[in-house]
Amino acid sequence: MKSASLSGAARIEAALSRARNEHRGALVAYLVGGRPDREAFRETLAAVAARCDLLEVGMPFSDPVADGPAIARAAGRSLASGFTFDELLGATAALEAPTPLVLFSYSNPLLALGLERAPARLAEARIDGLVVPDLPFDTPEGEELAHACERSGIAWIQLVTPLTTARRRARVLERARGFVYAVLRAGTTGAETDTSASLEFLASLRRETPLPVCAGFGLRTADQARSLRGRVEGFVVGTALVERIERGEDPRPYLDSLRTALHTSPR
Amino acid sequence: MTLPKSPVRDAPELPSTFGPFGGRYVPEILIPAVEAVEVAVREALADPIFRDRLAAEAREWIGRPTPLTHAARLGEAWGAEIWLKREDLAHTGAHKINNALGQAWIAKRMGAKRVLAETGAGQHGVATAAACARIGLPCRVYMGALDVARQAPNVQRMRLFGAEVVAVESGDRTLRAAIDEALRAWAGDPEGSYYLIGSAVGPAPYPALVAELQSVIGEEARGQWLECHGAPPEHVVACIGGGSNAIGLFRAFLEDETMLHGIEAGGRSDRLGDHGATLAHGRVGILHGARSLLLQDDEGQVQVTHSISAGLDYPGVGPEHAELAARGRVRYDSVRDADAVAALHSLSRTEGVLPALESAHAIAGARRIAERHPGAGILIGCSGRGDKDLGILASLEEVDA
Repeated sequence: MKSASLSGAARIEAALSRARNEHRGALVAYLVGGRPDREAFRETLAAVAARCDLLEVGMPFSDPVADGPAIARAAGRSLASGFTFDELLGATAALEAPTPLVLFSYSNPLLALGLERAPARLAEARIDGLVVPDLPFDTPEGEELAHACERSGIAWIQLVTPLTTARRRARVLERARGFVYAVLRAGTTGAETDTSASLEFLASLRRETPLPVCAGFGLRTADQARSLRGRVEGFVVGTALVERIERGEDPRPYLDSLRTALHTSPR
Repeated sequence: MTLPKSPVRDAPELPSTFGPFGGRYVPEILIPAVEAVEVAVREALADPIFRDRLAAEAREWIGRPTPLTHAARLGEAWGAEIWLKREDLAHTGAHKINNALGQAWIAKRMGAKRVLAETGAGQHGVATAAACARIGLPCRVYMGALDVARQAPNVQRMRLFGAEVVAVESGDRTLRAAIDEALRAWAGDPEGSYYLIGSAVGPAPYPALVAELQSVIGEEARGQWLECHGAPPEHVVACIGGGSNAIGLFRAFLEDETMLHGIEAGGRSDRLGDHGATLAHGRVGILHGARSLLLQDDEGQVQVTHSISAGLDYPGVGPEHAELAARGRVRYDSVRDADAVAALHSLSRTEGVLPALESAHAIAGARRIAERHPGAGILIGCSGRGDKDLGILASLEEVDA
């Protein structure tokens, strides 16, 4: 259950360790805010939250350079329909499921909200963590955001890629909160990734951080989920889920198939 | 005989910020690539062999130095002493080639397997395609689908130079979407690709690098002006989209008493969405890797812009311009579509020079300066030639007819 006394980072870590204790991989789902439309977004949020261990909600941005075409298109439609940051926060605040929530937002909408006060507003809207794909920690804004997140108990989740140098990786991991987001390959979200190429990268990350590790970028199939069982705590699925929602499909059967694949019996 | 100056000065310091602007705001996957570019740029600019080769190519292939032309009849009509720095006479028809050639050589030194570029009007795409052909590097140019339609001759030129042109159907389908897409492609292959950005924008070190490679414009122009007049001009004027030709022209005059004027796209009106006048109407934000001014709404969403010239149709501006505006060293102003077109006709008829619609904004800006300061000496950056705009000009005539 959600506890008001726990920080966002603690709630995220608790959700991921619960999955580990139950000998299964955690399912981390990503949704584009305001889709499939402004009305149905709240229902979609609830339906997906009930089927995953951790839910990432994307605030649409006009120039999503870290996203592939499927998510970029969905974000564009959401903005065209008039979806706003306030509306996203209203929807997350109203969510009844105890699933921890992570906001995915580019720098500029957060800057418009005010970096100093944004984390407190997210916390009020029951958001636990934050991913900012275009804001490196070693920038003035990065430092400001890190302080504001600490004050409000929001976990600023850091991304690590296979190309991140060892020296920088140590600095990133020092700042990581909640979980470490392992980007499995170069590129944007969406295109399919060969997970076998990432196993060494994931293993070295596991040795370097006490935090849970969630893998993402290019994960979409149950086979990939099975191949990562036991290698990471969490499996992030974004584009494949977004595509189903954009097509007007019920995302629940797909999420259930991933959950099944992530289940593993103790060895 | 005096040889033209090398386009690159001695052991340059490449700043990553300009006051509170600039910096490096890119996804983690691109951090190593951006850092590699920074190291390569510093090494290249400090290498005398590289600089000599670049200077020789600037002379023999680009055709530098470009002339400073006295626009006597235009000056007589407008009541001022007007001279044009003729970047329209540089190879491929615009100042863009100064940057494209320098960066393509850097890409080659880094061992890049291919060059990625974005383009708005197509001038940077053509310059990059030409430089890559000259050097022997595969080249892919991202261009908004709207711009592909309105700048068709440049698309054909890029293809003739062997470049692959990708029409970008996402976002606003203009320059901004082309940069978004080029950044995505770079993130997909940060080790094999070099991103050859075309304006003084983007993450550090690009704004400083582009300014450095373009500063040859101002260095030549200042020397040429002094040769004729003995003292620096009272006014220097250039158009600004991202701001590469303007920063290249202005840098040489920053220590002079010269009044510097940057002219943005005033479009149809002052309403958000009707113009590209970022310095006049923008607020601080982060886009395309840098902190600068941005045309955005209260939610931090970047806005669609409008300009008759594709090269100025951009919601951001180079961070160095944001800083020059903040400290008041350069005066920024904007010119409407119609005034730019009128200035294009004036220059064409009085001097036999057809400027690009981008450059026509600077010429219209000079007219305003001449009205306020009769008899003043005005140096205009004529950043490109207007052949690429014949289609747009013809369609305007149809509307008028």
